[in-house]
Amino acid sequence: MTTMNGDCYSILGVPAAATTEEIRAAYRRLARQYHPDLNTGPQAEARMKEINHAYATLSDPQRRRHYDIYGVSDPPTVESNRRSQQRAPRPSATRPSEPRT
Amino acid sequence: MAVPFPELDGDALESNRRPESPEDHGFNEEGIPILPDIPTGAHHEASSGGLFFSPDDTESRQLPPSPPPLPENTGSSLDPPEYDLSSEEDVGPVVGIDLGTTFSCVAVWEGGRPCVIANNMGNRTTPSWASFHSDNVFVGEAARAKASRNPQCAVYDAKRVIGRKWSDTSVQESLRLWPFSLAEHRGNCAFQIGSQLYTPEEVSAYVLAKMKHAAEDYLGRKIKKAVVTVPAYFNDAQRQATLDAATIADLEVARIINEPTAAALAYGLEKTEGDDSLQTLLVYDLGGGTLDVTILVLDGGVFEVKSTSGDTNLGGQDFDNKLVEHFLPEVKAQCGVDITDNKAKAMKKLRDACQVLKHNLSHSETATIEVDALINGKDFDSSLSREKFVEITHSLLERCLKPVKQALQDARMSADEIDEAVLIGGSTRIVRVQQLLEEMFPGKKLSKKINPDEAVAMGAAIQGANLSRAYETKDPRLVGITLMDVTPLSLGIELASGKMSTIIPRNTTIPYSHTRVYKNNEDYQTKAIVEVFEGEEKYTKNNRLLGKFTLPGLPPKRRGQVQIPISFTVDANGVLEVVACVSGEEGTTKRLVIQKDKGLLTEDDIQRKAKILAKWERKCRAEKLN
Repeated sequence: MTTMNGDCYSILGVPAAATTEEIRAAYRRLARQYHPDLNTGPQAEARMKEINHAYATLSDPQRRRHYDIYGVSDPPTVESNRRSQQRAPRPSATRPSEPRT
Repeated sequence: MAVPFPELDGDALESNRRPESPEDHGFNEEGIPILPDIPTGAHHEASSGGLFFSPDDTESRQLPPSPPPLPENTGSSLDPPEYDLSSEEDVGPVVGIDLGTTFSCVAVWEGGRPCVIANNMGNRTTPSWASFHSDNVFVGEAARAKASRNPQCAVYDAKRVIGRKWSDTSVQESLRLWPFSLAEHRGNCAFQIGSQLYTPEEVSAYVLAKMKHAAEDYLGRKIKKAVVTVPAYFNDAQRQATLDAATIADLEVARIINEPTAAALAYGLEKTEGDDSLQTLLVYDLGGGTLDVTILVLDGGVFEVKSTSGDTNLGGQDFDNKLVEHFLPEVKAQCGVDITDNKAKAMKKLRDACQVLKHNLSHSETATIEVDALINGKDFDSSLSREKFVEITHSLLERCLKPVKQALQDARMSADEIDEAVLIGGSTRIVRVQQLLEEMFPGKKLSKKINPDEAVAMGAAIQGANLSRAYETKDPRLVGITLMDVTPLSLGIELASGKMSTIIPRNTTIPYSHTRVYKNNEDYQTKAIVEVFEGEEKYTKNNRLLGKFTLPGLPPKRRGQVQIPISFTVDANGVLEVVACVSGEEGTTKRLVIQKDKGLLTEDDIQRKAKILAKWERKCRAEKLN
């Protein structure tokens, strides 16, 4: 599994208060540096995956907010409208931690 | 905002949490990915419809021996290669090939710019036609010329059936209007000429070989590598089939890139020189058979695709079809014969005339259609106004903006955030299509700066040069050009409920990797089936199965107590790798690479057809044919 443990902000090298513009600029700079088409180094592709992952998380306001609160960047899912039909007892929803991806 | 994720609802249960933290009780009640248990059966059957990955499909497919019998004298005298390779290392330039539905185009990076290569007829685009005869195969203009005498021997539109199932509604709908016959071959499509069957891969291979010839003649050296373009909205099977076609034509594909992205590269390269400002482009590519819409941001050499959408079955040919249908009753009235009834020659004449009429309507308010001796020596003539044309093609025009709206929604953008709409593909010359786009983007100019027929090949050549190292070090114009492409379709696995759990949503920039944690669905379940799908539908049975594997070694625990992290990784080439393991259990890791070499054809098929094609190429070279 690829390691995605790094903090999205530090992967992109931006402060937690960075604006969308700053995030985008940082992303493009890193993309030019690490994209496997241009950088044939052994770590480039893995690094690019991290960068893309971090950018995907932080460039979407909703996902960024989710990440800021919970520390995970899982894709958002649509709220269930059939929760009453769940059959098995559910563990209570608590604050999730970052999935080790 | 767009919700590119399928809804996961309550009857598939459990939470989604990290493996090594049992104290974290699931956070994602609605997000519940659970693996289907092994013996469940029913939902697996449901999904078996669209597989191309199953043993059934990949087993050797016994096409009747398809080679047109070539004369036996293709022996040693023709064998020596025409072009010397200076060394093994030197693979030559990477050409860019736009393999189109109706026309193909080849370009190469030369003298600091992409340069379109004319074929042996002096044309910069080549009809994507092949005509099969007992003594030879003709491609391009030659094939189209042969078609007027032997319409049933000449095939085109391979791109509309490549990688598609026979049962595909779009295939079935088009059948009636093709002058050639298409047959079912083990669930897929094949062109039938006499008793011979030709797969769409093979037909495309002939076209690719022809494009390769043109490039070899121009450059005076052997071409081994190419960047080949496909519609952005092509699914994995269609991309794979295109790769197989290239292999048959003895071309190594350096990269498959999306047509609108390629066009944007060509456009952007001209544009960005000395201009580092950020620009948002919408590329609208309406070709002979497909519509693609891509939104991308250009920022100092970085081409970041934001979203892509399309309709793989909407293009100029559909407009032709509508015209043909429109004129058929009139033909019957004037000539007294129903020409749909096995009158391939007449149908071809009518279709060609309709095409001319359509072209004329792009510069005139009304146009006439005249066919001499359409059938039984009777002439046919009529006329059509633009207004009537819009009326006839109403249902098609309605579909023209749908992908634009979808792409905007996916990119979370509004129409006024688009700086420029770039028109690509011959069918964007249709006046009404341009009007629709002008209405969609009021006050924005529609850019026709680049040749709509050549932009895609030029972009492919740019990417080809970018990927070939020799050029990268040489050409300053290419420094910093980075293409950030996206996955066109969502990728995920099937849950026990039969629903799709998306792991990588569509329009995710690649390379990318993501892991989600799933749980066992039943008490004491020992194995889990991981079925990988692509598509946007909520239920996997409506999506396409890419592959599956079984994960054994689940410890006997109650439902929901076993954690199974599944990670999806897509590399820069768009190849998907799936890795699953059982959390805390050694040696349970299972890996599945959705092979880029698992198309509809088997390795044997490809090798066999490649040999036939190589022989054909030598023959063409020796006898100066095609």
